[in-house]
Amino acid sequence: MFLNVMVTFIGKGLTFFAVTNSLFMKFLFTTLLLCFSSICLSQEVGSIAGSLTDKEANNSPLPFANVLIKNSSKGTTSDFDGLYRIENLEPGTYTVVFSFVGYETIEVPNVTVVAGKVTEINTALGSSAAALDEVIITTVARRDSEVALLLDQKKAVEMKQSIGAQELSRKGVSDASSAVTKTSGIAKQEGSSNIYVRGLDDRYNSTSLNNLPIPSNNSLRKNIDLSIFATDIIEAIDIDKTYVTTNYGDFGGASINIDSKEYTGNGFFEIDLGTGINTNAINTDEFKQHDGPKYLGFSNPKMPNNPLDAYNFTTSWETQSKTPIASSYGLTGGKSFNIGNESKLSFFLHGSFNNNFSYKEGVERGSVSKQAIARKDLTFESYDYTTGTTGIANLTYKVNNNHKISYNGLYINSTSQQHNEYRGVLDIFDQAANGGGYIRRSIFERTQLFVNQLIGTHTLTDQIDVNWGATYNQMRNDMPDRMQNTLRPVDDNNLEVLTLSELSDANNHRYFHELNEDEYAARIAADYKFSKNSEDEYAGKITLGYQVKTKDIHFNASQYNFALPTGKDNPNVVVDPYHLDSFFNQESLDNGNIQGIKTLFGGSFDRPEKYNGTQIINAGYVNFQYQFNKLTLLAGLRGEKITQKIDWLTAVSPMGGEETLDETQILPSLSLKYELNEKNNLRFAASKTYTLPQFIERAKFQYVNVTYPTIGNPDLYSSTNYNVDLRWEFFPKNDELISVTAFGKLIQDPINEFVIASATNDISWANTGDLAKGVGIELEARKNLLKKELDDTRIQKLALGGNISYLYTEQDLDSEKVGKETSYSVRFTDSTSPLTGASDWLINADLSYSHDFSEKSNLLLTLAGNYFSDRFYAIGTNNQGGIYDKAVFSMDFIAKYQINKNLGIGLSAKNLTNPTIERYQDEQDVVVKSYDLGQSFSLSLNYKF
Amino acid sequence: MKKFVLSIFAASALIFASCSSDDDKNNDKEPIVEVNPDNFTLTIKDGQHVKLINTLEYNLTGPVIVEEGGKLTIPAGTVIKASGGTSAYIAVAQKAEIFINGEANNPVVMTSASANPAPGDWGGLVVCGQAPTNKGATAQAEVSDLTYGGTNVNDNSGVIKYLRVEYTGAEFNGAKQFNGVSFFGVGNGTKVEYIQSYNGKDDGIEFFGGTVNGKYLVSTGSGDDSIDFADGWAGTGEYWYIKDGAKAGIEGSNNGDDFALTPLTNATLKNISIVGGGSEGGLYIKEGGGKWNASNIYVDGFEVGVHLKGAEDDPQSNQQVANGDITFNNIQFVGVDTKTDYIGDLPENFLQEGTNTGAGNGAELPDWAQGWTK
Repeated sequence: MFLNVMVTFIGKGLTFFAVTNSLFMKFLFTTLLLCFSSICLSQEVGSIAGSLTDKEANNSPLPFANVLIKNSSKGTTSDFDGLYRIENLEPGTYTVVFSFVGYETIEVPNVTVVAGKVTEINTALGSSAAALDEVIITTVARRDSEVALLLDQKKAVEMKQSIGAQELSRKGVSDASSAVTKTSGIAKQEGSSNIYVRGLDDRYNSTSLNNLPIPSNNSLRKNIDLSIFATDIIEAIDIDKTYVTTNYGDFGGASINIDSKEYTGNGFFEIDLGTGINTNAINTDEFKQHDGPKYLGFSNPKMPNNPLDAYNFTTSWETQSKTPIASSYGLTGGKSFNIGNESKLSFFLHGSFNNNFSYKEGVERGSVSKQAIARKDLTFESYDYTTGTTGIANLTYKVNNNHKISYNGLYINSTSQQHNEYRGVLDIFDQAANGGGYIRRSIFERTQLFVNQLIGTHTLTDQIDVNWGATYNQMRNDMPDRMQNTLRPVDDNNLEVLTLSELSDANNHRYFHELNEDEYAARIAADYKFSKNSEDEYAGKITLGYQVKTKDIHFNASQYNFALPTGKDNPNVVVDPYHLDSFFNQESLDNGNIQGIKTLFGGSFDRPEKYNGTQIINAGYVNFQYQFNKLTLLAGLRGEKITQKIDWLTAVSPMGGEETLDETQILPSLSLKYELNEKNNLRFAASKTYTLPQFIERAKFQYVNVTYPTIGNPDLYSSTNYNVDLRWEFFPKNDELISVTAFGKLIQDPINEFVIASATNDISWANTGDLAKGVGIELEARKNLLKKELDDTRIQKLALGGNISYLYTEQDLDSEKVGKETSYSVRFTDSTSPLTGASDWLINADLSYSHDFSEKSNLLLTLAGNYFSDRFYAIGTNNQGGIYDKAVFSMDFIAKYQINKNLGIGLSAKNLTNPTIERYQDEQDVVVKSYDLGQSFSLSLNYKF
Repeated sequence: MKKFVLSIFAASALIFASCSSDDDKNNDKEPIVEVNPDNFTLTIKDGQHVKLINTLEYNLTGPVIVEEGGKLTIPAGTVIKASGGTSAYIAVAQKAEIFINGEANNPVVMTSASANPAPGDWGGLVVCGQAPTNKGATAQAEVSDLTYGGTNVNDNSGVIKYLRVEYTGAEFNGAKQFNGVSFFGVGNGTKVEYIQSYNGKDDGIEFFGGTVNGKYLVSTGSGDDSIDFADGWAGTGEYWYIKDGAKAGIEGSNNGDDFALTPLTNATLKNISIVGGGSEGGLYIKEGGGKWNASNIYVDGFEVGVHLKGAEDDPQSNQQVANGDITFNNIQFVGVDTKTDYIGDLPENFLQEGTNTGAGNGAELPDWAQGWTK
């Protein structure tokens, strides 16, 4: 029935369809059968929680009020903060009774409790009863509410940190990548997908969707670019900075999990529209875009037939002009259907398209020598048009209160169409040595991600739960028809008259690549609870789990270089850099102005460069959890068996080759939680984990990135990480938090990227020292500066939130170790350095004001700021200094106004401070990159039916 | 002791070359290496010695790599025709040896297999040794991904005599391109004499560090620099005849990352003719320059005779000149517009002009280059 989900949104030409493949259908049937035939002895439970306030005391928290479930023995009293929580409620519909001596009693009927979820009810009690419709009930508290997430955090044994849809919306966050940077100790590298957690870069982090793996979209990175996940589909993002054995052990910084949205309720339908501008983009005389890609980002320019025999390229080398006004369109809906008495089918669907225009101009310098001479010294302009199309379908089938199965189908199409122009000195000792050089590079990159997930949770007995998940992911990354031209002055003493650079064939080229990744992963775990305590709760739990993930990647690339005549044969044809179609054509091939079209294999060999990789990880774990009065212990042990294989055939390795890595890892973890009192927790966590090299890093495979060649190092091996965290948490009120975390990391044999000693300054990887260490402290606080109940239903609130991290890192840089352990050599400029990606200080702060005009109308204003101090970017070699990103302070302002129950509008003004983004080479003190991003303003409209 | 299995060779056009160890003992146990002249690509391993046959024409279709402990001998008159772009090259690893035994009237020729040969049709010859370079204790070569460099000044990679390489310079990308002949950290135990690079797309002949001396070298029609030395090359270059290069006649540098890095390039140059033109001058001193002791240099037909960038762009090279560490005694300029673009007072010993013969006959092809070059 829901095996073939096919939803088509018509309008704006958006088509989204989720396809299940045959293997998955088999899997689904088997699972359904298993599930229907199992005997159900007990039920999976949910809970009700919330906060009570005192109408007679200016709506301060109301402690010691009674909260009862009508017609049952279940109930509790509110704590000092008016907080309450009733656990272990069987899913169903209840009437909740709130009472307090001398106050009127409120009965709230039809409160739905859903397995595994928290229903949040907040109300005020007083001498006169509140009208029922004034009680604020989040009928099904989803994980996206800030209060629900804080309660989760308070209750969990492990140290969790989550950011939900509510907070993301308040802070105007549009994608998962910006989302994680709102949490403590996490920063993003501008202009790349790299996320740093506590100064640990991409390789130390892992990403999952609903606790199932997702592939990376870049062969040089371990993790997918989080910015392709729009917040529309995110219920919450969990950031585990401590390791628990339920996660894959290739960990050092954080495991980031995106929980996609689900819906349970009577149905809703919503339309979102938006538009926006960026000050840099709108102020360009002409927003330049290269030929080929289309507005929606769904068409790939095709590789011509016979690209070598004749000039068969059909796309123009010249740019077109676009109007840089961004827009977004979204449709979201959901509904639940009861089937019989016990079963329920719910769905959530979302489809959206958004685009964005950005423009940067600035300077870029490269190869800065010890004498502070920049070999390459350019100004640049960069025009970038991005699109994102997202479709998600969630189908949840609740078989009965004990069994639930859900399917998530996700399709993302994410594109970037970038046109860059550089002017100046291409090589101070060689090309355009006095300036006048010109490079233009136009890149269209498209990533498509297809995720099919099936997830089940089952309560088999009062004491045994089973949960499982399986996923089949497909990722396809295309870079079709990249174009590059390089021009130089005909005469270095007259910089205005240009000709095409003949120095290297690759100076003028077209390039195509395809990266395909298929990933299968599954997880299954069973919990056995034991040792019931006086409150009828189990004190102990043992979890057994098995996980597997396998992936296959295939990469192939073809480059077509336009070889020009050299020396005396070069006619130095004068060209106009903006009208290159008059040079690159059949006529020039015929008359010899273009000598020929060549591939990277140098001759007329039209075969792609390629590599293939497979990785299989099998993992098993056992966890033991026990609550000794106020102390809860969670100890786990995990074993992983890893196999990585890569083979390649490329121009620089025309005979091909292959590499295999086999490893077994045994990983212990320990978490302790000590409840000092109701408001205070102390937590401790320690673990051992590892960091695996990426396959491309171990393959003796030269990969020519857009700007530099990298070569793998087969002598690279895993590093071992030891992690310790200690945290104190204080929850003054239900929506307030103060926490302080101290952490320490020891990384044995850390892996780093650096320039090896080579004739051409190639980049490679090695275990660069015996030890890296990091210690830090993170402070997190959320505090209401002002909270006033305007009347029974209306609240006015001014809240301050933020986090501050201080980090100290140091690693050994040992040229001798690299020389001894690998076939490469290096001359590190310094004997120690910070970890790449580490800043001493990271600060996030937000001030938000909310004001309810009526029950259905409110205003929310947020000012959010972010600061990081100078951040280490790259290790210096050959007496050149290390490279740092300069400190940046940025600020966003977000306003959201819900006019009535249907219509809401939003306004965001981002990057108000518009800081200069600057990267510099230390010691020589030369700025190697500098630009700003401009300010962005956007307006959005939301209509709920 | 040469044990060619002639019958098989005759029948199938395959050669089974025996491998002879130096003392020619244990011949029976030595591995047989299969060489197919029509599809000449192979890896010569430790203990193997492959000897080509000069009556055959070899079609180089992929890499020929002489690994550590391996040997390759190419007798006079052997012609190797390459097709396959960047994948067609001959590379000699550290601790391997090559013996190119050409003769004055019968050189070894490595050229393009194309009917219409053009610069960049194939890779080139790459030799890696264990002599010092200022790139690092050891380093990776530009092409072929072999390691070079070390501490063995007297390292011996064999003999190259009377070799002509033509239409070399296939490229992988802007940063990686074959030269005609590349010497990476090659030691002075190696004998390098009588080599011509003809119509190479990149540099004709380049020395990346090392201590090897180069005598009787000819570079004609290079698409980039004609002869280049860099990264701490410490050797003597004598009898060089350079003509029709696109950029510098001779380009010499110290180290691009740190212009003052040691060991400094230390070049002794004598008896050299550089015949224009070329856009970067007759001689181009750059990236710190190092030490040059040049005599009997003949420069003909350039806008700039001795080129170096200003002190702002290349402070170290300017300093080396000012210190008297770079001297030309003597040098003759013919048809040169600007003798040098060095700014400032010319140090006394920098350019001592005189009349000389250069490589032998001034601008004309010297006698020693007759008969085997083109």
